[in-house]
Amino acid sequence: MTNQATTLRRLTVGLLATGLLLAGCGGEDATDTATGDATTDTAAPDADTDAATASDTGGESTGDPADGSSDGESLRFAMILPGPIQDADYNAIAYEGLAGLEADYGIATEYSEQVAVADAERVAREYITDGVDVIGLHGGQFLTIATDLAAEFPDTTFVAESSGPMDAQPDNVWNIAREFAPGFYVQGALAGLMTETNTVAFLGGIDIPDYKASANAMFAGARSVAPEVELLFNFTGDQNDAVVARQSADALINEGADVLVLGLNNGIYGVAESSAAAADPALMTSSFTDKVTVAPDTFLVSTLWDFEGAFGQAIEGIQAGEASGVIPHEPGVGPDHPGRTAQRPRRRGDPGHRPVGPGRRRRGRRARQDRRGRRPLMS
Amino acid sequence: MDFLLDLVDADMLRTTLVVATPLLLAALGELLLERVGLLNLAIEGMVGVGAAMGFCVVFVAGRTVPTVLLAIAAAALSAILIGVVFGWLTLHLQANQITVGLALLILGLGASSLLYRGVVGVTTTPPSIGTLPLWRIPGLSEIPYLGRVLFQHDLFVYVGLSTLLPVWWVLHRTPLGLRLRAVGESPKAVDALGLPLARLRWSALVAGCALIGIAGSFFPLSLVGGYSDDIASGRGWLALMLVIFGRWRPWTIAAGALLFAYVEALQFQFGVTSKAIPPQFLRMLPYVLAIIVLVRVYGRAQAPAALTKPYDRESRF
Repeated sequence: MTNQATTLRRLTVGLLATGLLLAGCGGEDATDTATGDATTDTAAPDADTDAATASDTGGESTGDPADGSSDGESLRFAMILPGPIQDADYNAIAYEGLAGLEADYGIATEYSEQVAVADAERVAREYITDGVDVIGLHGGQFLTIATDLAAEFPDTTFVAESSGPMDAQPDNVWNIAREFAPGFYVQGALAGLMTETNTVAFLGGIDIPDYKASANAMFAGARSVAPEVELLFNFTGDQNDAVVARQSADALINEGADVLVLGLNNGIYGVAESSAAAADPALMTSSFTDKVTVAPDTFLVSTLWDFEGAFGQAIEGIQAGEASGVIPHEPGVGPDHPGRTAQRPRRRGDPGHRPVGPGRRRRGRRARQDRRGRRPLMS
Repeated sequence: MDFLLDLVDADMLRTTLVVATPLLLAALGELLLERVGLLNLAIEGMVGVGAAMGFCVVFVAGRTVPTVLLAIAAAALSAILIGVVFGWLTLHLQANQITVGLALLILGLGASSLLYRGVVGVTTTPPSIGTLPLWRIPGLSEIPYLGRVLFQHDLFVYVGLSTLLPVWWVLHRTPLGLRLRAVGESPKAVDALGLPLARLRWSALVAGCALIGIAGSFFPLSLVGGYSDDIASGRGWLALMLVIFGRWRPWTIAAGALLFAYVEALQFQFGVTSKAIPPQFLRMLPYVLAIIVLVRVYGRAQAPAALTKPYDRESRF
């Protein structure tokens, strides 16, 4: 690859990266997102603002009957996380979202991290016994536990994630219906446009339906722009084991893949190293958090996932007295959460602003925003 | 024919050496411990602490030659610290080695996570330190095929793999090695001969733990360039198994480490080229191989006779 070609490639990458995120946010958000470089944004500055807002709104919301809590105290929300909060990935985004949820909805939050599936029911029961009103379970692996506990504890509300809408949803479960695949379709199209060897690859960790669907979507995306492109895939068996990810990426690069679409979490470190050590480095894409800093020269783009917004919609519904609902969670329908997209929060008077409801207008910045995606989503 | 070419692919063999390095280092460390009669089940925790320490030092101080050396030293020291607790409890207080080892395993895994969180904190931007630059050996690295496989690594790989030689030489070619091996077979005999039993055991313990800690630092510094909890993903346990697999001998341990890394890399190569075999089956292969080889060799394997047995000078047997 010559220098000129590299420069051209980088330029295309930049343009496509912006384009991808626009696609990810969808519709009228496009103009807002274009002003900020979403791929390099972190939630850190936003978290500070959240903390400040928390002190403003905490007093106001106490005793507000709209809280949905009978004893006059603020709603208690507990999140169960499958991994460590410092993973800079799936668990970190949920943890960082808790501060925003406190600020926006005047709730009290707590969390348990590194909860294995076998422990999740015990942890959830402890929260319920302790008087927690809402339990959020961050991960599709906890779905059965949420369904079982929901039947046993009708006074507690659960927020459960699943691949697409869950079957047989209980009356006290809010369902975050994750659709990772559409994000991978766009990444696939990007991969199809970027490949020079006409070979692109999907590398996943555990082959759960979410990632099988993602691989298929990625292939469809690649074929949509490059009908003749050759497609490779593999699953390492572990989302976070960077060593097997490196070995697996070596094999894919060996087979001629020069763009790798990654369905991995911390395994991406190994892929970045594999690409760096290869004779001709491969390009990569990833999901959840911004991984571009890991290998700025070879990382094309990250699709950012906003769980704070999804859980926020559930909390808002619960505070409004709705014990269950479905929140489609996919690119283009989620709320436009500023921590993820670097856009200015909408204020009253802005185009697209829509007051959420009486009594809630003063509670937090995000509550003032238009929740455009929410309207068709409630069940 | 493609199938056969896959078996000897240069890039795959190259990665095999890289992946085998931490396995070999940790297994040699464990070998030193077991040869003096200490079964260290905390090895996975020590590897984790070494990895976290190695990452954190470079993350804080930047990646320069002195800081990388400092990171490796810090990783070794942190594992030695756990080893000292292990030695004090098992040698001095004669506690059960398996119980103490498992307790320290959990401590080590927790401590590595805590250390990383203390230094790096919670962020949504994954921190990366990059890996060490490759050191292409002039001349040799130009050899087609062999140059790519053997002579295009970073310094850590060269030094790590060649650790085999001093460990083998000391254990099997020096009087010190003979004494160390004797400690693992019959501490009473060593004691009766007036040899410094405690000093022999402690020196093997410190050296072995240092190697295990360094093996841990290899993951962030040379293999992955980042850190995540459970970064070794059971490779400490694999090293423990390799010691048995290698029948407590350095060269066979090295062969085992290479074989494992090779089969692991091979299954990914097959996973890409052949979709006829389910990936779950391929991922199982290294472990199936382990069981087959263990069944084959274990009958003849002789563990050090005093392994896990507390030694009390006052006892009659």
